[in-house]
Amino acid sequence: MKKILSVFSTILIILLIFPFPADSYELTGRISSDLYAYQGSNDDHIRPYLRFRANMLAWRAEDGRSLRFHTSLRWTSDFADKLTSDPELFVYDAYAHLSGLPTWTDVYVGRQFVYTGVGSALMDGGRLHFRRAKNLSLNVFGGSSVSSEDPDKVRSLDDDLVLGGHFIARPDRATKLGLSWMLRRRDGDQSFHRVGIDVDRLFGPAEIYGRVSYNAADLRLAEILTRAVYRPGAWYVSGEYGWREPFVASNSIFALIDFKEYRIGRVEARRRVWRQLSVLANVQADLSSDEDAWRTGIGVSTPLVSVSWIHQTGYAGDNDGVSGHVNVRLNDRLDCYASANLFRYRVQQEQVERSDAYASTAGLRWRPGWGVTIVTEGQYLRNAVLKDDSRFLLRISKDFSISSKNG
Amino acid sequence: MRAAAVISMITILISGTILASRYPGVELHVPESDIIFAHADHTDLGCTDCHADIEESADAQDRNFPSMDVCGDCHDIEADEDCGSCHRDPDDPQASPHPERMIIFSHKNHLARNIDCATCHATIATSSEPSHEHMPTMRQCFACHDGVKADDGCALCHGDHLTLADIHPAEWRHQHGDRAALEREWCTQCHRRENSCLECHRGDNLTGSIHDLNYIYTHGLDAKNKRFDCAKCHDNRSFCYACHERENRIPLLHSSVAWLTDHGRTARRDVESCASCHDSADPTCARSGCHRDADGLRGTDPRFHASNLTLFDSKGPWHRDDGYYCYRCHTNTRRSGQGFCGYCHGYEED
Repeated sequence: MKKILSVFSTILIILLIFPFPADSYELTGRISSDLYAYQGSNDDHIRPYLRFRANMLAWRAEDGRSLRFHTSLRWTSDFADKLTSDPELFVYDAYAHLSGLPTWTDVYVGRQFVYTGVGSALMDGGRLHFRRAKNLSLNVFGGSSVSSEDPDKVRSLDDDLVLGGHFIARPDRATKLGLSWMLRRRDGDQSFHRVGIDVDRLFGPAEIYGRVSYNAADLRLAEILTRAVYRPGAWYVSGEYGWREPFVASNSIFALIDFKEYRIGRVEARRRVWRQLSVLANVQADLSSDEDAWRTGIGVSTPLVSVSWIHQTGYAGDNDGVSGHVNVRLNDRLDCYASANLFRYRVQQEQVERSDAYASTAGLRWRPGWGVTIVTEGQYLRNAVLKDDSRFLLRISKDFSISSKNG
Repeated sequence: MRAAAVISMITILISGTILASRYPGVELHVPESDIIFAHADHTDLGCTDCHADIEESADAQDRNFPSMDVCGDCHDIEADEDCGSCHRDPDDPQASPHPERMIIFSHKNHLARNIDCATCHATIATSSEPSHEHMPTMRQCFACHDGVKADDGCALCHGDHLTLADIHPAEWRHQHGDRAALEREWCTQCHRRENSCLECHRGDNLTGSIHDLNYIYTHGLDAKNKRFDCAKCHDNRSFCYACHERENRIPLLHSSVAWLTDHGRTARRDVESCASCHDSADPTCARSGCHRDADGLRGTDPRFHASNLTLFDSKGPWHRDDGYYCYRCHTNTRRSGQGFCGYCHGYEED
C-alpha cells in the first residue's frame, strides 16, 4: 500500500515528461532545486530540495473533452546529518483530470486538495465536479486523508476517510451562495462532521461575507464568521468578527471539556497614498474571556521597501517586533534584496525576561533567460537557542511552457 | 544584538526611501493616438467596411486599423482645412500608433468560429474615442478559454513573448500582498485555482514566504493569539507533537507549583493548545491516572467534564463501541447496574 503513491507519482512524471502524441497538448510547470546549508542547534545540515510542479494537457477533442495530468511534489534529504524522516517525498498533488464526460462533468482522480466552506483536506481519492449551468456547480469527493507524518503512504479508507460536498450557486454576478458538508474519520472514529452555509455579496466597492457551520458530530453550533470589506479606490478597509469552537477532533476526550469558544475581532485599513506607497494598520482582539489578547500592527510599504511594527499583549503573550525589507533592481535580469526583523517576546507570563529573536537575509536574484531564476541567499539568525546561526540557500528554478499549437 | 537590529532597520529605511523616490511605478503602456474617432458615430457601417482584412488576419501584429484611404471612401480627405476633424494636431497629422503586440492572436481563427466582434469588443459600438478600454481583457478571454470550451494554457496566447519577469518583476515578491488586497481581481485572472497561494505560501518554503525564519521560536504567540487558524494547514494532533516531543519543549507553565491545581482553567481557555500535544490514543489526562475513573463510582474522581454531560441519546455509540473514547477514563463493565454503565442505568442493590 505504501508504494502505491510513489508508483502513481512516477507514472505521472513519466507521462508529463513524455507527452502523448496528440494534436493538442500543452505542458507547463516549474522545476526547482535548492541547496540549504545551516548550522542548527546540534549538527550541521546540508539539505537538498527538489520541487516539481507540472500541468499537462494530454488529449483534447474538438467537442471539449480533455484529459489532463497535474502534479506537485517535493523531495528532500540531508547530505550531512539525516533526520529520521529523510529522504522524504511529499506529493502535494498528483491527479488526472478528465473533463467533458459527460459535457458538464469534471472527474479528478488521485492526490488532491479539496475545499468546502467548512473545511479542507489533502486526500487520495476522487472528486466529481458538476457544472450543469453556468451559475451552479457541485463538488463531491471522497478518499482517505493524507498524514503529514507519512505523506508517502496511502491510508486506509476505514481509518482515515474523507467525504464531502460543496454546492455553489451564483444567482447574479454579485452574489455567491455556498452549502458545504464534510466528514472525516480518524483512527477509525468519526473525528469531524460539519455542515455549513456561506454567503458572499458585493455591493459596488463593498463586500459582505458570512459563514455559519454546525458541528453535526456533537450536535452544536461550531462557527459564525462575518466579514465586511470596503475598497473605495485607494482604500481597503475590512472588519471581521468570528466566533468558533476550538479545533478539536470529535473523537477526542478534549472535545468533552467545557471549553470556552474563541471570539475574535479584527479590523484593518490600508491606503495607497502615493504611487505605490501604501500604509496599513490593523488591530486584532481575542475576547474569549477576561484574559483578553490583543495584537496591533502598522506598516509602510512600497515596491522597494517596507517597514512594519507589531505589538502584542495579553493572554497570548507579549511581543514588540519590527520588520524591514528592501529590494533593489540592478538591471532587468538582476536584483538584490535584504531583510531584517527583531522580536522581543514572551510567550508565557511565567517567563521573567523577554527573549530576542533576530533574523536577517541578503540575497541576489538572477534571471538569465526565459523562465530561469537563480537565487543565492545568506541568512543570519540569533535567538534564544541559536546564538549565532549562519545559513546559505542556493535555488535554481526553471519554468517551462510547451504547446503543440497556437490559435 | 539590539544595536545590530537598529542599524539594520535604519539602513533599510534610508536606502529604501531613497530608492522609492526614484521608482517610476508600474504604468500601463497605452500609446497616445492623434486620431479623433468615435465608433458610436459610425454604427450604420459594418465592422468589415473599415476593417476589411480582419477575417484573414492571423497575426496579432497585423495592422487592422483602416488606412486614411478607407476613410476617404466617405470623407473628403483632400481638404486641408478639415484635417482637424480627424487629427488632434492638424498641423502635424499622424497615423494611429501601431505598438508591438506581445500576444499570439488570430482574428481569423476566432471569426471562423462565428464569434461576434462584440463578444470581445463589447463597448466599441458606444465608444467616443480610441482607447485600450475597448480591447478585451484577459478575464474576457477566460470566459471562453476556460479549459473546457477552449484551451486555457498561458503559452497558447503568450508563447515565449512574455516572461514571468514581465508580469512579476523582481520586487513583486515584496509587493504582491498589497495588490492582492487592493486589486484581487487582477490576481485571479491567472491564479484561478483555490490553492494558488499555497503553491508559494507553504510552511516548508525556505525563504520565509509565510513564516519568518525565527517562527519556530515565536509561533506560540500566533498559536495562542489565534491570528491564524493553524489547523487549516497543520494537523495539530501530529504536526505540533512531532517537534515538541523531539525537542522536549514543554511550556514553562507546566513546571510551576500552581499548575497541578490551575491547569483546568488553562485547558478551558485554550483547549486547542492542550490537545495539540496530549491528544493521543492514550491521552495524558487519562494515562496519568489523575482523571481516570478508578472506582467506577460517579462523582468521586477529579472531573474532566461537566457532571451533567449528555452527549447523545440512549443509543449513543459507547453502547456498541468498546473502543469509544469514554473508555479512556471509564471502565466498560458491560453490565447494566455496575460502574460506568451504572451512571445511567443505576446500581444493583446489594
